[in-house]
Amino acid sequence: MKFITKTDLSAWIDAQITNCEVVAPIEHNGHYLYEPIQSSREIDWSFTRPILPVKEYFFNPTEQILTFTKQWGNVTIHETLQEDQRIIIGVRPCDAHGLKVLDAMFLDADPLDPNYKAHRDRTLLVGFACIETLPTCFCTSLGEGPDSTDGLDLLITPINDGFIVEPVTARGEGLAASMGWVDREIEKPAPPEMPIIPFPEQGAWEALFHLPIWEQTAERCLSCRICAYVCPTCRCFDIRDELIAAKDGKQEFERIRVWDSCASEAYRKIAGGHNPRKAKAERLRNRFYCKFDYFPSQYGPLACTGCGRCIELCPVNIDICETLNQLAEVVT
Amino acid sequence: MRPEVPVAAIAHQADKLLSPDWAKVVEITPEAEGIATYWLELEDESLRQRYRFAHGQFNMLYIPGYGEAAISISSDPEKPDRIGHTIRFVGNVTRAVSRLKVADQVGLRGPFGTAWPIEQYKGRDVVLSAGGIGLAPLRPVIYEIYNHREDYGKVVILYGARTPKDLLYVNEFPVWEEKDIELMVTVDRADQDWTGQVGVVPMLFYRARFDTNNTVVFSCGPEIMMRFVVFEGLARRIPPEHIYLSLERNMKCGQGMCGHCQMGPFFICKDGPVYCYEELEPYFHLEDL
Repeated sequence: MKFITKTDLSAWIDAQITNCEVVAPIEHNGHYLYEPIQSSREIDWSFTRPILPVKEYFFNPTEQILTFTKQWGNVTIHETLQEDQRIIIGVRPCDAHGLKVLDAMFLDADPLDPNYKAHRDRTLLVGFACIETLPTCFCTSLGEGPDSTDGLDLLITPINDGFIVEPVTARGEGLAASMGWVDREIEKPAPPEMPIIPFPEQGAWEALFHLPIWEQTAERCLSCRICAYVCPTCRCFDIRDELIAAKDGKQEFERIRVWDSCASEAYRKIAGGHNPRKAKAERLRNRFYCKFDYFPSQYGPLACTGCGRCIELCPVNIDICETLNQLAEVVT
Repeated sequence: MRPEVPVAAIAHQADKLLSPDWAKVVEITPEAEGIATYWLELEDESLRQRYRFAHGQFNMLYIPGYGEAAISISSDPEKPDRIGHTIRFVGNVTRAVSRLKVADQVGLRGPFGTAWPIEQYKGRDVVLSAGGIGLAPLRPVIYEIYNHREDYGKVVILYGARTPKDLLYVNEFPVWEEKDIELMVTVDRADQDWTGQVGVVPMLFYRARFDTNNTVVFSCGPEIMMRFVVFEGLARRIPPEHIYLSLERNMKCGQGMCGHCQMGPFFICKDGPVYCYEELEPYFHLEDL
């Protein structure tokens, strides 16, 4: 096994920082966040699950797609795509799984999403296996695990006195080549276990549409949309036009795409006032159906990675596991 | 699994995501109060020559600074260099459209979506039932029938609007009728000069005569109207695979990514807007899907 000490790994990270942008988990006001760092000292090595998934670096919360200059009625378009390399360190396997889900819809689509693809191509993912889990974690129920390498370029597993380095892709091999690792006989620690959450099979959802569970669960829902924003697979977006402050007689606009969520009341409203998903119970139900029924039938993978963020951050304690348990009971 | 549905091939796909091409307004035809047809020509010469669309597809029209709206194409697919959009001024973008003048620029992405499979129904009777602005996406079908009238059997248009003043394309009614296209018009509320029908569109089925064994029904209008159109169609033993509906939802990207128009396992912008009722049946009765 390839073994690297913390000092050597930090030195390697610092060397990368001189070459390209490096994003890593830091601690901020009691929360962990993925942020660009200037030095490996900023990394909080004891991080658990950052509050936002790495999705935000591929499908940005607000992303400029185009800018327009309008002068004397003529419009000029400037497209904005970034190409410089970037490394994200400390990606949790559930987030890498989330990117695989997003790939199925942004990259396998025709036409594909050029902005998402540009970010995907320029970013290397250095994963961190989870050696302990949070009470809300349930990734094993969704087919992945705390030490899954799926979607990562390189996996790092923390052990007592250092880290085990496992390259996954060719790009990961390239990264590992520049690391100062030594070969050592070590046993990889067994991944932590977590409860298995049952959920209805894809074909079983049709029968669950009219259950009172939706109304009951949604009673306390605030439609605050936090569940969608912290979800590694939620990918709805809105497209907006914003005016940039006028410069020398020119009118400049930017087209931005921003995260949106089906929990929002205005999400489906159309001109003329028709709103096909008015009640919040219907919107909450749609979240479950999208993840476990519609998304798999449209793109293949289930749109949930079991990261547990929506459970932890829901202000009114709506628990996806609790609801899935209830639904599974109805099915059996 | 979804049954195989006849879908027209998309002739032109935007090669850039969310980035529009520019078109000039060449003519504006007022149709009714708050409704006008905007005739657009793509500015790029080669694009204008390549651009093709099928009956019932739509474009995303873009007004810089306001945003985009999904507008169905209401002109003749055989004349794709001059693209007509009949637009009702109801929302933020369409109100900005209402302030456009001839020679102004509009952003255009498209065409998107599925099409009315009209050419597969040559030799059959055709029933077109439309409510309000729902006649606009059916007008390409009327052009097709008008241009090749001998290819189709009996053709009946069942059309309704709120008031006689809201009826679209009234100047073309005599032209259509000359080509033996039967037109039945109803309004919700009559005015003093109205001598026609008063009532809802599905009721017109009771007066229409067509060969129910050999008929296709195309419908576009408010969803509640289409529910009853389907009901009347099925009651006349028209099989679900010969009933087609065009649906509407909030659309942002037009490419099945943004999620807004998701209806069950469909994206209306990509898998629709035109659906075969057979395919839609398991979902159409679910309100608030």
